[in-house]
Amino acid sequence: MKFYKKEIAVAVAILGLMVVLMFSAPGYFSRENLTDLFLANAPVMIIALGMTLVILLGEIDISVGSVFAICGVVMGVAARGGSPVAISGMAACVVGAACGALNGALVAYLRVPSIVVTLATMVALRDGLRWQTQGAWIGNLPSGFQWMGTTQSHYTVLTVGLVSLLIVLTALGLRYLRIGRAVFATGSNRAAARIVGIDTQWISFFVFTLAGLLTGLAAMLNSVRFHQIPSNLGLGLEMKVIAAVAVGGAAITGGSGTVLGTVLGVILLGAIGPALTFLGVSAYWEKAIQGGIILGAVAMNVIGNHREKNAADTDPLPN
Amino acid sequence: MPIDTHPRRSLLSEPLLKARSITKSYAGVQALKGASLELLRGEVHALVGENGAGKSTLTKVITGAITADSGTLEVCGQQVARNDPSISRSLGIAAVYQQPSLFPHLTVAENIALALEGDGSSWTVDWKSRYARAKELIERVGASIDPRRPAGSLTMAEQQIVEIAKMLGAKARIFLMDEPTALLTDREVDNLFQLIGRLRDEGAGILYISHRLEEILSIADRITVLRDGEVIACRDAAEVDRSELIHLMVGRSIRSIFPKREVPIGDIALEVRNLRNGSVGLKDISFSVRRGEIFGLAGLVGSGRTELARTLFGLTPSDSTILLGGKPTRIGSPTEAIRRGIGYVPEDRRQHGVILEMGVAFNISLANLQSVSKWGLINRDKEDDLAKLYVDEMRIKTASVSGVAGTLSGGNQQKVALARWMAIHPRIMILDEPTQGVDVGSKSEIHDLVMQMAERGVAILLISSELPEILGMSDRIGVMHAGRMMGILSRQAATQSSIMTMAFGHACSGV
Repeated sequence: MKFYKKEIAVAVAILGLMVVLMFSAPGYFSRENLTDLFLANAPVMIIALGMTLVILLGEIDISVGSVFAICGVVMGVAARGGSPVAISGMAACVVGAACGALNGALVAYLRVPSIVVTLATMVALRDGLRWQTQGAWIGNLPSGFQWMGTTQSHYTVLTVGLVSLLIVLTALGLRYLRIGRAVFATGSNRAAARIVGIDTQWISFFVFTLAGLLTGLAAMLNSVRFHQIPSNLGLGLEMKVIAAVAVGGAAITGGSGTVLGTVLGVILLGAIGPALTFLGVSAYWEKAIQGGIILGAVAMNVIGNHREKNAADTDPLPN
Repeated sequence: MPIDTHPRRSLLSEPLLKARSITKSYAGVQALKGASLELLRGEVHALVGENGAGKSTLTKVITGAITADSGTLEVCGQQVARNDPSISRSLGIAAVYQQPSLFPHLTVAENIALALEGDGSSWTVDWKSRYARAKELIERVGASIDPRRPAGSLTMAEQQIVEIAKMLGAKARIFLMDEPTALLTDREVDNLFQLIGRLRDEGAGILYISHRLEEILSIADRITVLRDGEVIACRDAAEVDRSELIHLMVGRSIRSIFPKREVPIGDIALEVRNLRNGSVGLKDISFSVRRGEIFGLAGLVGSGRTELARTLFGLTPSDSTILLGGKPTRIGSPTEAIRRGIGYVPEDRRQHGVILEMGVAFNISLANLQSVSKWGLINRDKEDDLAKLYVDEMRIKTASVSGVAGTLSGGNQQKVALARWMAIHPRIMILDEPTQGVDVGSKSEIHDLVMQMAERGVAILLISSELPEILGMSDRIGVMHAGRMMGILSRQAATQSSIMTMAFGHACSGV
C-alpha cells in the first residue's frame, strides 16, 4: 500500500502504451474511438469495483458474467413488457443484488468456498437463462429504451458521471468507512477480525450482495446501448474483471489492494485490445498479450511481496 | 581439504560447529556485529538475547537461509566456503522450530521417507522397510508413535519428535532448536528434554534458543548471550543464575522482575457462577474478579483456560449468565463483550491478534473505531492521534503510526495488540499468554502496563503458562484442569508446586 508502487507500475505501462499510440496511431485518440472505448469498458469498471471488494475479502466471484446476462435480459423483458426504463433498470439491479445475496449467503453462512459457490451459480444461472430464453435475443425494445430515452451524448455524460462517482465512493468508503476497515481486517485475518467485534459473516454477505448490485447496474448501462439484448451477454466477463483487479495489484489472498489499482487495471486491459487493431497487430494476438500483461503484473506482485516478507522476517528493528 | 588442521587436538574435542566473527546487516541495520560461537560435541548450548539481538539471524546464517556479510563457519574443523540450506543439511545441521513442518496428510513413515529417500534411486516403494525404519528412528528418540498415523493427527509435541527422528535418520549432528517448547505442555517439555539429553549423550550438539530462562538453566551446559548483534558473554550454565542472565541480556538490571504493586481492590467487576459450556468442555466454573485485581488463570495447555476466555468474550457463547458489576448478563458475541467493556488480548498474536499486513494505527483503532469516527466516517487525524498516544505511552518502536505491523518485533507487536484493547478503556481485560514469545525487555514493559491497568481499576484476568509470571503478577490464582476450576489460591498461599498439583487434577488441601 505504501507509495502505491504497484499502481505506479500500471500507470507507467498505460503511459507507455499511450506514447506508442500517439506516434504510430494518432487516430486512436479520436473522440469517437475514446467514447466507444469508454462505453464498452464502463460495465467492466463497475463490476471490477465490486470484484475488488470481493477479492479484498480473500474471496472470488466468477458468476458475474452470468449475473450480468440475467440482469440484462431481465431489463429487456421488463422494458418490452411496458415498464419505464428506470423501473426496468431497477429490476436489473434488484436481480443482480439478489444473485449476489445468494452467493453471499452460501459463502458466509453455509461456509462453502466462494470459488465453488460462484462456479455453481455461474453455470446454473447461465444455463437457466439459456433454457428460459431458448437462446433467443431480446428484441422489439420500446423506443425510449435505447440510451435511456436520451441521446447518446447525454447517456455518455451520464455514464462518465456515474462511473466516476462509483469509483470515488468505493475508494472513500474503503478508506473512511468503518465497513471498509472491516473488509480489510476480515480479508487479512478473519480470526483477528472476529475478536475485535467484526461480524465477518455479515461482511461477506454484504460484499457479495453489493458486488451483485453493481453487476446489475453495469448490465443496465450496457443494455441500453443496443437495439437488442443478446442472451449470451457477458461470456468471459468474469475473467476480464478478475484480470483487471489482479493487474491492479490486489492480492488474490485478500487484505491488500486499492481502488486506484483496479481502475488502472481496467484502463490498461481495456485500452490494449483496440490499440492492437490500431497498431495493425492481428486481433488474434490480443488475448495472448493480455495474458502476458496479467502474468507480468502478478509475477511483479509476487516478487514484491517476497521482498517485503523477507524484509519483515529479518526483524531488523532493534528492541 | 584438510579435515583436521590441529593435529594435536583429538578429533573429539574439535568443536562440531564454529562460527567466527559473523556480521550481517539488513538495509543498513546491523543485525550481527561479529558474533562468534562454538558448539561442542555432546553439548547443549543455549543462545539467549532479546528479540532483535541477532539470535535468529545467527541461526539463519548457520542453516544457510541467509548469507553472512563476513565471517567464517566451520563444521568439524572444516571451513564451509559456501552455505545454503541443502549444503548445511548435508553437513548434518538440522533446525527444529516451534511449529513442526511435517506434511499433515502423509503418514509419519512417509514424512520420514520423504526426507531420507531424496535421490529416487528406485521406482517402487518398499513400504515394509519404510515402516521399519520409521519405527526404529522413533524408538531411538525414545517415543512410541505409530508410523502409520497421518502426521496431522499427532499433537504438536509428537510432531516435533517425528521431526527430530527424521533428522536423526538424515544423520544430523547439529540441532538448532528455536523455541521448541513454546507450544508444549509441561509434561511434553519434560519428554523433549529427555530426548535432548539422549541426543547429547549420543554426541550431538544442540544449539538451544529460548526465552524461558528456567528451561535454559535446567538444560543447557553453556549459555551464550547476544545483545545488539554481539556476543556479550559465554558462560557455563552452572555459573550463572536467572537475574544475571537477564542483566547480561538487557544490559541493565531489572531489580524486580515483576513490577507487582499494591493496588486498592474494588468492587466485583466480573462474577461467574457455575458456568458451563458443553461445546468447549467447560464445567461448573465459578470465580470472581474485582476492580484493580489481577486474577491469574493457571493450568496445563488444554485445561480450558483459553476456552474460558473465549466463552467470556462471546466467541464461543454459552447459555450461562455472568454477572458484570453485579448485573446478570449474557454475552453472545464479541461485539456485545466489547460494548460491555471487556477487552481480550488473545494468545498467538500472529493468528488472532495483530493484523500483520496493516498499519499500526489501523491495528490500534480497530476495536475502537467509533471513538475516532462520526456518522460512520473515520477521521484519520483523530485515528493517528489515538495511535500516537499509545505508541508514545507504551513505547512501541515503530517508524511511524502508518508503519506495517508485521515489520515490528514480537514485543512491539504484542504492545500494539495490547494498545488496541487499552483504547476501548475496558472495565475487564482478559490477557491470554500476553508475553509468549516476547523478549525479556518487552516482557517487563508489558508487565508494567498490566500493572498500570490494574491501578486504573481494571479487573484483569491473566492467563499464562509461565508459573513465575502467574505467581509474580496475580492477586489470586485460579487453577484449571480438564475444563474445571480446581481451586483458587491466594497470592500468599500459591506456590509453583501447589499450582502444579492442582493443574494435574489433584485437589489441593489446606487452602
